[in-house]
Amino acid sequence: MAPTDRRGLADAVGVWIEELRLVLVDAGHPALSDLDDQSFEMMLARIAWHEWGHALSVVRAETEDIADGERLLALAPRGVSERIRRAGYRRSQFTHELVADIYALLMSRRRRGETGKPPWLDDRIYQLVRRISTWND
Amino acid sequence: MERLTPPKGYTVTTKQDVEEIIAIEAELLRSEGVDPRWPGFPEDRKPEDHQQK
Repeated sequence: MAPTDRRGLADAVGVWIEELRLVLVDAGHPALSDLDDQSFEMMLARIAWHEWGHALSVVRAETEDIADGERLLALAPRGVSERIRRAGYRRSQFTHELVADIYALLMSRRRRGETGKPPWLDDRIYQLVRRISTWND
Repeated sequence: MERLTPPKGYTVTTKQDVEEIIAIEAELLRSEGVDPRWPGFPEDRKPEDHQQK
């Protein structure tokens, strides 16, 4: 593994390893220390949902979806798109990261009893996440 | 042994990243009138069970 890949992986709080079909979560990551109990649990759930969404996207996203990453990111809630752009992902990873983040947000929202398309989410992104995750709310 | 494709993990490097993620989610939820406080899971163990403390 190249040093940059190794560094990126060491810094990650979670990762989907496709060949092993395994989600790994670093619950002892320094970024998660000192959180209050509720925030800590929320972040662990968030990381697990993000990685599961990522896994589904890697397997189910179509070539056109991947190619559409930049355009989809432009339609995403600003905070979400800014974080993905700043994190240094390649353009070919934009769609996977977006699906992962929106999937995690939808799951978190569902945990609060909210279903259906949230008003802050563009319908094209919602339909994409529904198709990839077989989301039926 | 077969080599694995280097995965790109979920980049959350600093405490500021975590605060930002929580803040973004809270803002989106509030924008539709949803309480952003984490409701937990029904089967939650006691919070002090987690390894951070």
